[in-house]
Amino acid sequence: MTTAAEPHSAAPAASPVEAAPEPRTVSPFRRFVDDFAESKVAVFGLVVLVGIIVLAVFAPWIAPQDPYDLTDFHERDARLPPGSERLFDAQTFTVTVPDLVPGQAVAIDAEEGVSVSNPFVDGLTVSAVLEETSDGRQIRLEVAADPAEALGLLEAAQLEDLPRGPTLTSGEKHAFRNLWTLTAEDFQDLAIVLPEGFDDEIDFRLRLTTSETDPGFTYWLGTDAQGRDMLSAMMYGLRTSLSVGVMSGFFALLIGMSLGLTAAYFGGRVDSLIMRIVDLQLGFPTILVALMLLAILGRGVDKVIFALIIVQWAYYARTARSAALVERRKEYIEAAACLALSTRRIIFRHLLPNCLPPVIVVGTVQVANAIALEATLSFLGIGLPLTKPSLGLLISNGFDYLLAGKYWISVYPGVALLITIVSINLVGDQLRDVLNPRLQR
Amino acid sequence: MSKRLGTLAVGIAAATFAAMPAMAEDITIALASEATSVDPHFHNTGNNNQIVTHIFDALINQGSNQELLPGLAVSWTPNDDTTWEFRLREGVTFHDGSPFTADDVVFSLERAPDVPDSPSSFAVSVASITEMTVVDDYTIRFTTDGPYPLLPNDLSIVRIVSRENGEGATTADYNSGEAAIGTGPFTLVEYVPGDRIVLAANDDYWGGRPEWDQVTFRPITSDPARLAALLSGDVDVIGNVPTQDISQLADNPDVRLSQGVSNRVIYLHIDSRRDVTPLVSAKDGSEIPNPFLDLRVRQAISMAIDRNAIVEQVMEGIAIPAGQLLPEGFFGVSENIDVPQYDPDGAQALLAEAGYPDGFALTIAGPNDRYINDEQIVQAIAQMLSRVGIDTAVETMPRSVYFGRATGDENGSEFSLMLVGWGSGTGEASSPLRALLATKDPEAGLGGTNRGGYSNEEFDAILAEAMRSVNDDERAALLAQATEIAMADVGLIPTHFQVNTWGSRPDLAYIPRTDEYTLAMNVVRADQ
Repeated sequence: MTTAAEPHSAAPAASPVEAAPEPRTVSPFRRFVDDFAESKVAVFGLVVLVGIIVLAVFAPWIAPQDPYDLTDFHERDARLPPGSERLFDAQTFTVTVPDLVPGQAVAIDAEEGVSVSNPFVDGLTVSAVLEETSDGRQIRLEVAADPAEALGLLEAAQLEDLPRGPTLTSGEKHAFRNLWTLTAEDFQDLAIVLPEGFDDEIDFRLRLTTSETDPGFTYWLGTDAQGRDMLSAMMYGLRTSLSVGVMSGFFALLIGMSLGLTAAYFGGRVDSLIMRIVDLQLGFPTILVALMLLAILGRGVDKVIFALIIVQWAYYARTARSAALVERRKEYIEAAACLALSTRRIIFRHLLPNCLPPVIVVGTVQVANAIALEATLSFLGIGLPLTKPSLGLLISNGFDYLLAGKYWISVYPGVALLITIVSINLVGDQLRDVLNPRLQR
Repeated sequence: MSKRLGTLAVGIAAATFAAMPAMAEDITIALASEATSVDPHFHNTGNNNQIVTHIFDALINQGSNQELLPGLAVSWTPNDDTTWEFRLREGVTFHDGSPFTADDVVFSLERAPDVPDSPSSFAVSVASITEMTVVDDYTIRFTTDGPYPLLPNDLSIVRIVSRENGEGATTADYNSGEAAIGTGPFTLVEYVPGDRIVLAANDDYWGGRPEWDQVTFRPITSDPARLAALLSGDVDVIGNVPTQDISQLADNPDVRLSQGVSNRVIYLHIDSRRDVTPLVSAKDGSEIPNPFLDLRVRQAISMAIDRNAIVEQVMEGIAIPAGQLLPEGFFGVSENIDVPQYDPDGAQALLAEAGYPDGFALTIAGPNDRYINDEQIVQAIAQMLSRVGIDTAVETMPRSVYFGRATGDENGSEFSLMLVGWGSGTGEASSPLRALLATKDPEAGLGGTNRGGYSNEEFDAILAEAMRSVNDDERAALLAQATEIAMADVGLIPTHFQVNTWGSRPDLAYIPRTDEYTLAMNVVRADQ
C-alpha cells in the first residue's frame, strides 16, 4: 500500500467520478464537495454545525438577554422552569399604623420601599380599623385593590417585623423568623390582635407577590440559579466554547504543524528532539496538564485557550510529521531542493500544502476535543469566570439541582454541548473519508 | 413550604421529650466534612470539636443552644474579680477505669495551648488563666489576669484528657486510639481518616448510658451523594441537607428533616482602613482611593443588598436576614437593630453624595465550599451591587486557598469586599465583636480575624468595659451597645444567619444545635 496523495501542484487527473455521463474536467474543490455530499449524515451534521455557529456568532444580537451583564437579570427569577414568564418584583410597603380611634377606618400611608412597574400593586391600598372585641383589642386590616378584581391575582404576602407581642388572626408564622406568610384568603379576615396593655407603635412591612407575570419576556428554557435566561446563557456559552475550541485548535495547529514539518524535513537530531518532546507531552493525561496550568494561571478565557494549545499541539506535530515523512522523499521536493530554493520556502510552499489533508482531519476532531475539554475544566470550576458561564459551567451549576427535579439547568446545556460535538465529529469523519488517499477512487 | 417546616420544627421539639428509651441500636451518621484528628486539643474547629465531644467532656458542657451545663465541673463561682472556683464531679472514671481528678484538669489545660503543628490552637481559650491552684482532688481555682467573665464559656470548649494516658502522648497517639481515652459518653473504637470514625457507648457514663450502642461517622462531602446515602438507607442521619433539596424532601415520607437556627452569621468584611484597597478601581480601570473609607459608601453597599432576596431566592427560605452578628435570643444581642432595608435608590443617592454618582468597579470575593450556597450568595450580591451602578466582578475559590488570601499578610487582606461567616463558639456576642470588629491587637487577643481592618475607639472602649464586667446584665447591655455602634458605622455588613437542616430516617429525629454540631447524643427516636 504505497499509494500517496497526489501532489496539489500536479494538474488534476481525469475525472474519477464514474457517474459523469460524459468526460469533463471537475475542479478539485468541486470533487471534494461532491465526495463530501455523498454522506447524508455528514451533510446533516454540517447544516447543524453551521446553524450552531450562526447562533453563537450572532448571539449578542439575537439572544433575548445578555447573560454576562449582571444588571440584565434578577435573582427574583431564579430557577424558573422552561416556558415561565418573567416575574414582577414583590411590592414592599412599610406600614406604620397611626393612632386609631375605635371603629373608625384610617387609610394607611404605605411608604413604598421599592419602585416597580407591576401593574397590579400600583392600585393597592391598606386601611386599618381599631376594634374592641370580647377577646381584647384588635386592628382589622383591609387590603383593597383598584380594580377590585386585581385582588384575586394576589398570590402570597409576607408580613414582616411586627413588634413583639401582637399576633395575626390568620396566616402562618415562620418557624424562626418574625415573618407571617399570608394567602389571598387570609386577607379576607386579617387583623392584628393586640395583647393586654400593648400601646407601642405598630409598624411592619407588607410584601405582596402576584400571580401576574410579565408576558413580554418568556424564559423558553427556564432560568438558572441566578435568574439567568438559559437560552441566552447557552447561546453565549456556545460562543465561548466554539471560540475557545477554534482559537486553541488554530494556534495548536500552527505550532504543531510547523514543528512537525521541521522535524520531518530535517530529520536526525532535530527530529529526535522534537518528537521526544511530543512523546513526553502525549505521555501526560491532557486533563491533568490543563488542570495544572490553570491552577497556576488562574481563570480567564485567554488562559483556557493557552492551556488548550499547550495540551494539543503535540497531536498536530505528530500527524504533520508522519504526512511530511512520506512527502519528503518525493521527487518534487528533491526538484525544489535542486533549484536551490530556501528551506523555508520548500517547507511552507511545497511540503506544507501536501501535508494538509490529514492535519485538517485531526484538526476537526481536536476542535471537538478542545470544546469537551474546556467544558470539563469549567465543570470542575477552574475554567472560565463564574459570571461568564460557558456550557461546562452551566452544566456544573445545574448539577446540584438535579436531585431537586430542576433538570433544565443542567440538561439543556448538556444537550447543546452534545449536539455541537457530535456535529463536528460527523463533519470530521466524512472529511477523513474524503481526504483519505487510500479510499480515493 | 415554610408552613410545613414550621410544623416540623414543633414536631421535633415534641419528639425530643417524648423519646422513650427503646432497644439499643447502631447508627451511621454522614457528615459534610471530615475531622482532621481525634486529638481534642489539636485543631480548634467545629468539624473536630463535634467528634471529640463524644469521647471527651469539658469542665462545662454546652447544651443544644450553647447554654452552659455542668460537665466535669458541677459548679463554678467567682470568688472575687479575678479568681474562679470550680467544684468537680466526683466518681467519674475515664474509659480505662482510672478516676478523674483535678490533676487531669491541670494537665489538660496545660496541654491545650501547646500541641505541636496545631492549625488552630486552643491557646485563646486558656489565655486568660494565669494560675491554677488545686485545692483538693475535686476543687480547682483559676486566677485570671484581670476580671474575666467569659472564663466558663472559654473552658466549655476545652476537653479534658487524663494525665495517666496523655502524658507525652502526641496527636498521632490519639488518632491511633491509644491515648484517646476520655470521660465522654462514647469510647473510640477506630478512626480511619477519610473513611470513618467508629464510637461505642460508654456503659459507665456519668450522665447515663447513651441511646446508641455504636455510632459510625462517615464523611461524604458531595451534597447529592450524602443525600442519596440517606435516601438509600446507607446512613441513618446526615448533616447539611442542601437547601435546594429541602422543599422536595419536606414532602418525602421516607425522610425527616430537623431544622434549627445557627449561631453563624454570614457577612461581608469591608476594607475600612487602607488608603488604596485591592480589586477596586474606577470604571475605566484607573486607580482610585479606597471608597469604603467613606461611611456613606459602606451604608450604600449595605442598602443595595436585598437580604430578603438572598434568604428567599438563594437560600430558598432556609435562613434569616441579619442586621447584626447573632440572631435574637443570644446573649448580648441588641434589640434596637433592625435588618437594613433594601433601598437601591437610597444607595445610589448616598453613592452620589459620596462623590461616586457613576459608581466604581470592584471584585467581590468568597469561598465556594465553605458556607451554605456561598458561591451563589456572592453572585447574587454582585448582581445587587451592579444594579446600583457598582460594576461588580466575582471571584470565588476553594476554602483552602480563600481563607489564606482573605486574611492576607502584614499589608492586610488580598480582597476589599469578601464574604465570610462567623459562628460564635461561646454562644454570646463578645466572640464576633472581639474577633471581627475590635481594633487589631494580637497580644490582647483582639481583632484576630478583623479582615476589614475596622477600628473605632468608642467601640473598643465599650467592648473593653464589657469584657471587664462580671455582672451579666451589665455586660449584655454593653455588648449590645458596642454592636449598635459598629453596625451604625457599618464596620462589616451582615447578610443572614444560617439555618441548618439535618435529615434522618423517619423514625429518628435530630435536636438542632446552634453550634451546627452533629452529635450522636442529639439523635433521638421520633414519636411517630
